[in-house]
Amino acid sequence: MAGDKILVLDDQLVGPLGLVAPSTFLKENGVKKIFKLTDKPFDTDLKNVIYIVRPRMHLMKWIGNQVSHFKKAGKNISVFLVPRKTLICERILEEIGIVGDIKVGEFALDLIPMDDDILSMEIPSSFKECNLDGDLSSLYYVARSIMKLQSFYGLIPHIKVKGENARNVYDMVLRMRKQVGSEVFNAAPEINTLILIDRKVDLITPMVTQHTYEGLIDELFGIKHNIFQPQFQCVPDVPPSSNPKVLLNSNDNIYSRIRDLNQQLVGRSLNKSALEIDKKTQAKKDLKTVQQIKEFTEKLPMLQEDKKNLEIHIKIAEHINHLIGKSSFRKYVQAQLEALGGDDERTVTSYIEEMIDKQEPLIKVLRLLCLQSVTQNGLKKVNFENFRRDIVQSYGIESLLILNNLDKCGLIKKQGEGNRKYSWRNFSTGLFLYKEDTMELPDDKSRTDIHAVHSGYAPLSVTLVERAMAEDGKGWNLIADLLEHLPGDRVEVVQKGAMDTQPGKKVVLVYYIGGITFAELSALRYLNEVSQHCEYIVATTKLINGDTFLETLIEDVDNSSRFKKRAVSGLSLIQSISVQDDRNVSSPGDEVKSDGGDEK
Amino acid sequence: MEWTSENVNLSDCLVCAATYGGPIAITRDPRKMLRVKNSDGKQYIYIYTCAGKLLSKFEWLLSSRGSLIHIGFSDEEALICVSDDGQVFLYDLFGKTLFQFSFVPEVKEKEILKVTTWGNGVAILTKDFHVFVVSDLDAPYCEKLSMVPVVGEYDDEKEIAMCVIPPEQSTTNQIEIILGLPQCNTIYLVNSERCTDMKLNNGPFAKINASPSGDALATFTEDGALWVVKSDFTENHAEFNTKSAAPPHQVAWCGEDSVCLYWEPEQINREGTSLLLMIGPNGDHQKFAYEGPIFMVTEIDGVRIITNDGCEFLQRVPDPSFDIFRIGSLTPSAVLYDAYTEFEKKNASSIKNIRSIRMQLSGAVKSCLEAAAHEFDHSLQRKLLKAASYGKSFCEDFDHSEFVSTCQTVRVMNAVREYEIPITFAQYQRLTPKVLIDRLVNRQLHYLAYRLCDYLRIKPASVLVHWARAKVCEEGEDGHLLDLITDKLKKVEGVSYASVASMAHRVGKKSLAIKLLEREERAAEQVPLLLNMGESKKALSQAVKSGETDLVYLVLLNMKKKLASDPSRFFSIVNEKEFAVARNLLLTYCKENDLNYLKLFYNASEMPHEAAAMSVFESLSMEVPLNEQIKLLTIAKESYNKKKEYTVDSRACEDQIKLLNIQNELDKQLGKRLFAGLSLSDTIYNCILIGDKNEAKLKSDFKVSDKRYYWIKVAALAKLDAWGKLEKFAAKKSPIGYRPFVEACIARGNNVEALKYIMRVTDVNEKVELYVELQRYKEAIETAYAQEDADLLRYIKGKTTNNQTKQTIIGLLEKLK
Repeated sequence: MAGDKILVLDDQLVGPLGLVAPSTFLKENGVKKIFKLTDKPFDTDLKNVIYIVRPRMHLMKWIGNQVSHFKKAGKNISVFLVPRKTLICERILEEIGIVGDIKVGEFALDLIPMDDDILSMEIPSSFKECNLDGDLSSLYYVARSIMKLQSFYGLIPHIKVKGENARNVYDMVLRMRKQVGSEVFNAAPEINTLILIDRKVDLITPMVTQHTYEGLIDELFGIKHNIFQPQFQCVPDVPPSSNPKVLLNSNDNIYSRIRDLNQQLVGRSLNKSALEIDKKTQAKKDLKTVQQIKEFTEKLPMLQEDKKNLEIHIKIAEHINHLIGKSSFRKYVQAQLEALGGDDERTVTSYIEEMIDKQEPLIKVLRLLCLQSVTQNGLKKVNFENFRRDIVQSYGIESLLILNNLDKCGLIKKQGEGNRKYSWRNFSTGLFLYKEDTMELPDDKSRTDIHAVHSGYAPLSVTLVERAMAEDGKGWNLIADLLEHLPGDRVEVVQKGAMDTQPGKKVVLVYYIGGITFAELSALRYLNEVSQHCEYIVATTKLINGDTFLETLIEDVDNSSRFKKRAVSGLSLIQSISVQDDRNVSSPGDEVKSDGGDEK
Repeated sequence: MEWTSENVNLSDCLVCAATYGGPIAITRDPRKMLRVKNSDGKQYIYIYTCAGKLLSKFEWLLSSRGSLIHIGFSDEEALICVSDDGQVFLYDLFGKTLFQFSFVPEVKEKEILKVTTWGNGVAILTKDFHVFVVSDLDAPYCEKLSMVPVVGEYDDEKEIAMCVIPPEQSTTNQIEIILGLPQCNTIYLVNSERCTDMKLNNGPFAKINASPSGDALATFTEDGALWVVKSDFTENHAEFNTKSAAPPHQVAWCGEDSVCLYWEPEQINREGTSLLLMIGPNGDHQKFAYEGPIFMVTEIDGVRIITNDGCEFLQRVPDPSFDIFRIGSLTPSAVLYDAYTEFEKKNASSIKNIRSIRMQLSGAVKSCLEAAAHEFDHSLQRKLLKAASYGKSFCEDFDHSEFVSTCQTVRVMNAVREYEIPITFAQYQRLTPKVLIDRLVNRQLHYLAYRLCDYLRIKPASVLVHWARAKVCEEGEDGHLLDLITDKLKKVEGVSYASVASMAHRVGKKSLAIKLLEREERAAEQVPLLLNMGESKKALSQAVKSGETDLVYLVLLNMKKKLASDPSRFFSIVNEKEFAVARNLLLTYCKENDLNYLKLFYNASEMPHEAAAMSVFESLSMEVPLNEQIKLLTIAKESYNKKKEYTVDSRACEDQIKLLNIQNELDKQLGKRLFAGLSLSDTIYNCILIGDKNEAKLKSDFKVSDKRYYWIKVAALAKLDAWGKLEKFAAKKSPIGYRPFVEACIARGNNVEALKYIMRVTDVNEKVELYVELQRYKEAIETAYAQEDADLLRYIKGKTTNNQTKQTIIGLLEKLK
């Protein structure tokens, strides 16, 4: 559409769009203003309006509200659905009666590179849609993205799949391949193995607090599309009130060194970096020849950049240390570890009771409850009912519906439902998931021990990946018994018609369906550092943590609820373990300030 | 012509023929009087091959379709039939209706004056000089063009000159209609925006025809001249005076550069002999005389002439052939051809000849190859190819693939010509092998098409599917047909079984259709057909299997509508185990769009607890008034009660009703909306804040645990800075200990008050921590030292910044050792 225009974006798409289309690019193309989509109409004097939204039903209704308002003003309206038009959304637009007034198109945005080794679809609600709504469209998009990768990098010879939705994706990929014919995939294969993991296979890891530097920033303050907006003083000379943004990716030398480290090791690493920078700066005095001076001045901007970043990260690290040093945080983590250790569930139960009594943020309560329910294979009936009653009394009747949602996803359930034989203890001992003394290991060991990402607990999913690619080549066969007890099918196949990759390090694409945590990502990077024969790259539907993961599951209740603020952020009565500042709640017609792209 | 025996007379008929050597359609012209009295009065349409072999004969239903006024072929070789009331029917070559559409009723009201069709559309001129066009047969949308500003009444379409420049050929990328009218000296150019008068004065123009590319127009002027002009009238190409006052019966282009004019015998007063005049680019002309009427078909490289007893092709001799066969030609290709003839005669001069053209040899070889491709005669083709082959053996670096591909092309064309499709080389190149194969398939020449695919390495999927579609219409036992079809189709990937199945369904073989569909890989193809067949359940199952949400929705919404009167049947299907995904989707859809239907579903599916949850969900909305909320919650409560395991939830609803009533009372007393919608804990908290006595009652009514009550009250009192009350409250032994008291004070910044309670904290670790937080290091150290706890001391040491304190701790640690 030519001429000046305004963009109206779905909340979910503001970030991803910023990653692919920087604001300068939008400005060059005549975009004058960007708005977040809400259900209330608003006014503008520009004639062209473009909506870019995910094909979700309630958004269509919101668009309907706004379009009928705009139509009176005779505006040109287009709606682009990302990544594709769906029948149901077209149907709803039809029912609202605005189909004739607007142009409906699609915008095939799929895997977005978040960093050198991670691709994301940026669909936060994938897990919810698949497990709660029965809407498998996101799996279809995942399958399509895999086909796209295969058409660039050749048919992937080995495929390993675990979990129901991973299986669905696998089936779709096979079907799509039959449909497009084989000649599309002529490229010599570069990816050796594709591992598809359904989040449902490992619901434990997201519930455990992450202990890596990056993970903690996400847990405590939130990272949105690689951007962290600190609410405390950390960027030199910029007060938090002016909304500074810190871009977190591997271009930042300092950050790339510490992001995957356990918080305990961050300080030491920062010290080391400081010394190095100091040494380099000192070198200025010893410059003798013109050549040396020239070399130095070339390096100078980089050095200054590092120096600035170092200052920022020292501030952030200090702030994190302060927060995780608090006894409330430590107790919460302790309770998680006890739930994982699983000796005496009463300690955890009474701790959760206290959290509810204190009205700690509901999301934190739910996280711990989920952890307990999953590790114990369900909550005892009496506990289940007591928690239900207590939560309703503390947080209001709508939490009943929230608990229903979690029940349906198998996150918080009553014992005895679903007869799968399952013993968490078998897993944690069978797969060495727990190692108490991780942090006492010599420095270089703990730096790459996957137990370090949660201070002792190794992510189940990453352990499965490691086992799948075990050097003996037997894959999951050795742990077949254990895998039986995890939900969903297991498939290990060699794709028909695919050539094998060149000898050498095998490139392994790990696709997390339903989201991956930063800690898991770090653990996979550890594997990369120590592995002689594999190089892992990661794709996912979304980067998550326990909070953001659960939020998508309770969103539908939350959206329609009048107690929005109280229920989710919870006015904890005395002292909150959540140190996260209240999220900005958008008001109708809220203008999106600026998107992340301009930092690049 | 094979039709000679049938007494076909072109002059009595509407005739049309498809380009690229395509079939001919003939039907009696209903506007002409019947000569043959023994006819049954019905109107038949006959389709013949180019050689006059009857492909099909079918009836035009006069009673229901009005009078047939125009026929023409589309690019896909479908026969376009236009009736006098503006209806358009498309038939395949065997008389099967493909589809039909109508022009807007306005066309019928105004009456049609003239119709013109082209490869992808139909244009109609009405008697009041409006032009209506449909310019895409696949998506027939009737467009009304600008009006022609003339008055007058015409009845005879023959007087009107009209031709169409399709959008892909016009310079403006939109359709252009060119009109010449009797008594009008000028020509009108009509498109959707305007009607342009070309301001000519050499009219009226009895005939206007566009060249195959649409670049030039051939017009016949009032004073008997053929005037060829660029189609935007910016450039005169040629003018030729025919010295005939009567306009020709038909004008046709012969390729791009010659025009043929044809006069019927009656027009030129010659008994039974008609006249064809061919006029070339430089005014060269050639006369041909024919016995009886003829019909001309413009081709891109010539003109096809159909007579009552034959079919001829007239073209300018292609350059390579001309160069070789011209008498006395000395071009390298002619020399090569000669050399080869000598070689065949085993004459040594052959080599000498070759040497004389050594420098141009590869060009000569190419010319021979091209000439071979243009040739129809097999023996000449062979000879030219051999000459080329002979010549290329003297070339050092000739690209052999060119030779191979020419041989291939010649073979393909010869094979196709066997089936009465006289395609030329130029036509073959323009048409492309793929389209040629489609045309063969439309002629039911499946085997030939399949062999060509094989020979040219083209995917035969579409040929096989077409074959299978024809096969299922044949008589035969289902199982046998299925075996026949799958046996052939399984060899190729990407075959659309759904397309075959849909044909089987159309001819009433439902079970065969279902079996065929089971083999379809693409759910997107399967599902809509299954729905059409009324196999909703199978459709749902396939949609679910495909994992494509859209397809599942398609089926669900279809079923919901179809079974609107019998929802319980719909529900029972959806509740089957294999449809879990579909059920969830239905629920999600209803949650957004149809809450009542959702409740209906839950109740019918014996899931009262879910129906209850829905009522709770509804009650949450701010807009719902109190009594409505209570009503909803009562329904929820009762629904929960239907199942034993939901007693907790039932009680929660009961409590909520009670709570809402109390909150309502409180708000009334307060005169503003504060309490409504708060949780129980928050209600108690706010009661304490405003000093309402109900807090104690709430605690006992709702059996709030002591612990929780303490948490709430401590927080509320601290918030009020009611330190006295807090102290009083602390007098009785606290079930949550005293740490919360301390923390509440610290949170309010009242460290003095905090110290009051710190003594009563029992846990030493907590105590020390709290002291540290209050920066009371002395007390912290004392407490820790009293317990002889070195770890705690170290902890304090880590927290303090004061050096002296650190020293003290170091000293104490020494003592403990």
